[in-house]
Amino acid sequence: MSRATTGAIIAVILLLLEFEAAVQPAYGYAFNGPIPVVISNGTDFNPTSLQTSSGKLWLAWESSRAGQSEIYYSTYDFPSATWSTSQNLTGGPQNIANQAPSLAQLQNSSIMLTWSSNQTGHYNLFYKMFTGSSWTKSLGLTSGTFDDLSTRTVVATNGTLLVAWTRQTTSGSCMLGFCRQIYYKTLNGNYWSSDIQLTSDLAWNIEPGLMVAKNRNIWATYSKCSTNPCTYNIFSQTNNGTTWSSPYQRTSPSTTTFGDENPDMVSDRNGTAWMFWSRDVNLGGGVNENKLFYENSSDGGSNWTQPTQLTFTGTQTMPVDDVNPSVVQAADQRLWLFFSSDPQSSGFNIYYFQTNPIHPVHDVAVANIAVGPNYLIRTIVNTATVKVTVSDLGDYLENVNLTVLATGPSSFVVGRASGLFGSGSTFTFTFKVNQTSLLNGRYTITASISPLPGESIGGTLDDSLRYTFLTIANATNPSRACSAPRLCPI
Amino acid sequence: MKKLIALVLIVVASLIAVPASTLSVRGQSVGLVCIAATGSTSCPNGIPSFNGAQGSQLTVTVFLQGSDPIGGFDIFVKTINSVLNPASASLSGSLITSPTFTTECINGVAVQGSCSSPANGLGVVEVSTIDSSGNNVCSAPCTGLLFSITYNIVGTGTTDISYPSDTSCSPSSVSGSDTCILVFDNIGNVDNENVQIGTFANGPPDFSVTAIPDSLTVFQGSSSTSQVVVSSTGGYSGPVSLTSTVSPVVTNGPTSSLSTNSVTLTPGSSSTVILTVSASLSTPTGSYNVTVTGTGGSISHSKRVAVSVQAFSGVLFYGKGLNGLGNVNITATGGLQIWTAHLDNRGVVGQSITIRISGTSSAGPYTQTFSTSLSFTGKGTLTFNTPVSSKYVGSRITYTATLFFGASQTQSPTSASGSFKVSQ
Repeated sequence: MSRATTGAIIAVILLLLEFEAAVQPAYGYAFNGPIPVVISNGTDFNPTSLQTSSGKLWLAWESSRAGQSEIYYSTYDFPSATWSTSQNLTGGPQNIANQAPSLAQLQNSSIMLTWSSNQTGHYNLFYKMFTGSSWTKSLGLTSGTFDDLSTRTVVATNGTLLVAWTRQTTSGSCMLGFCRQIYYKTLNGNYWSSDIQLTSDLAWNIEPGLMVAKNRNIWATYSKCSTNPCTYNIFSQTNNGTTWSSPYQRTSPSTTTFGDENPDMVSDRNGTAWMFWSRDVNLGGGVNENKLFYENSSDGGSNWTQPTQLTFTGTQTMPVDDVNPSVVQAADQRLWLFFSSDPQSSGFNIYYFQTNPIHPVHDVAVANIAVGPNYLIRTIVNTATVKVTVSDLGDYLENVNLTVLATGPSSFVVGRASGLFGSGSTFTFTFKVNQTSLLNGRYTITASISPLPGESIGGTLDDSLRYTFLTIANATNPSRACSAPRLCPI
Repeated sequence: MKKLIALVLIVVASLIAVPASTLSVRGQSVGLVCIAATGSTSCPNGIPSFNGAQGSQLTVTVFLQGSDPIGGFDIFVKTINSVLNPASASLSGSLITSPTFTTECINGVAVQGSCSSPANGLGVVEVSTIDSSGNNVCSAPCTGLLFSITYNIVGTGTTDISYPSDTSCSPSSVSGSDTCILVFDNIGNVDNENVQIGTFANGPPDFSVTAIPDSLTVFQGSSSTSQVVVSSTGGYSGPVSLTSTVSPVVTNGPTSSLSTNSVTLTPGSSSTVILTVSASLSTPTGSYNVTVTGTGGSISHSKRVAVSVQAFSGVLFYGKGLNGLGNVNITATGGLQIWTAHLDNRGVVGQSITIRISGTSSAGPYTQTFSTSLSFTGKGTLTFNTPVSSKYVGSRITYTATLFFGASQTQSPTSASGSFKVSQ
């Protein structure tokens, strides 16, 4: 069949004219709630939430309803608007405490639950996986004569799972004899990394929160106490896939209070980054309570709004603590913010707020770049294939202009393409690179989309993706051609 | 939940001049088959939503945008026929200006030609045709109406206006699928197309009233609460007034109250109201119902909460329940939290109790129990201590205290909660 290039160009021009006047997203953020979700006769703390690829919303938490701290979970079905019956996931031996669960979904769709348990005599991390129909057995993730607590997990866009937690050790060199630092480890494929220390100052650093930002950076945020008595401030660090940034102080609460704890972050579907936390608030008369606060950034985290108080109930005679926020961008386009609260001072249970639907948004992303072979040996392998996958994550039909550049010993345009993308659609563009007239060396392949009319600044942060490296070299061993995966076409 | 599937991609690849000596580019040309409103000149910007009253008709078009040249097509469109029942299809205004060899099937019944494909059936419309000229009717990018469908709106509810899949529909213009869409040129080459569905909904704006929990046990002389959730459905917006009534009405019967008598809903929102049911010491034991009724305009919904009033001879928290002396200052070896329990002993002197404190903190869970025998009946206070390990320094402990009483250590219906900080 004919694929008339000239006709296609005319089509692009026409379509550009047609969609130039795309409607700007027009919505405001409003929080609705609190709505009870887990009410039991026991204590329900530390919720963690996950939007799974199957469409269900998962919630896990720590509960003492059975007399000791166990990890429970429930799932929410959007079509029927119902929560499943709570199930105990630990059910361990008597007098074993299980604390602070976290949920994440791996790229193979398995759901991973991590939590802290003292079954070894100290608090160590454990995990189990839901593989679609059943849970695996509990497996140890850390071990040692220290306490690993307050775990959080996130899956990076490259599929790597990151688990972060607080490690508490005893040492005379630390404040009041206790060291509290943030550690993390990664799961890449089937390989677990060793325990990696993220913070290493003299302060106490506790209760990490994690987020994958729109630009694919990992954000780690945590509470820091530098002096005794404590006023916790929230700090954050970002990882660009290679290195961590320096700690950056995010909040400065009153130094006469206990400060800010339990930070959790999310990037919503419009590219706005959010941080929620629990702040100690003085009610007077020597009475304090914890309330939920938040701030957000619409430019990828460069600038943040001032802290905004979200919850207010409570009095000197009946203080109400709102703690442990866990926020998720749900499939119904709303943010769901789960937290633990005791509104009647009669026991902690789980509640949630939800925003209005974050809709409609303009958002197209470069989802992936694949290059194969990524090692061109002159006279043996002449051509590499570059496949660029573009996805429309927003709600509009979008006219997308894609440019793929190579930079290295020389720079050149790998190719350009344009197309109309419907909401939810994905397409992979294919380009060829012939090394014949290129200089030897390593080339970075960058695929970029022109910003869409109406796309937020935060939404543009995934409009570009880099691939490193496409290498061109002289043959050293001709028989190696395509003997390794990197020499084979994708 | 809004469907994200079946949303489409049209790619009209354009090859922009690049150094020919260094690369070659393979372009893709993919069109879009969509559901559109009548009179549309392009596919809608996103999934279109249609509505209409039961008993009326709805006409939609099957539209093609940005395709390679076409000479004919064979397309199936499916709905839930208890909501949208297809009545007719029309090629009037179609890109195929001189249709021939046309097949038209409605609900599996042939209007024209024969309906041999197993993809046909209730709610399915199949239209296939080619142009009698033997030529392509347009050159790329090919955009225009393919055909239109008129539905009878026979019910209320929601349905997608989508395209069925069946192995008999292979080859399909939708790459890698058996979607029953086939668009082809005048010599039979299959054009590549993506698809975009439509949706239909004609449920009226409404709201729901639920209660968590929807059954309560209230002991004589105490009260219990349920959380009433009022939620907007179908885009309902506006105030909802709330009332609660107890039945049966008896002398000294239980009473009910709501934390607010009105909420205002926005589309998709929910509001929570606290229902409190109280019983006095003279309330007859037995079963009651509390009916919470929400009224907004002409719409009214009720939720019944079952209430069991029981005699109580155990122990309750009252007032502040259980509160610590305050934040705890400890030494390097730890310290103590001094607790005051406010208890109402409805039983006898000597009744045994256990208070279990379940807490959590950044330094791990905090669990303590305290047991004793009460030396009083009625309301009184009890003071006791629990150890706080030095490992909790710099942590805030949030806790719930549960109360058990009697020889069998029955759990009291009341509990208490709060938090305290540990410093050194």
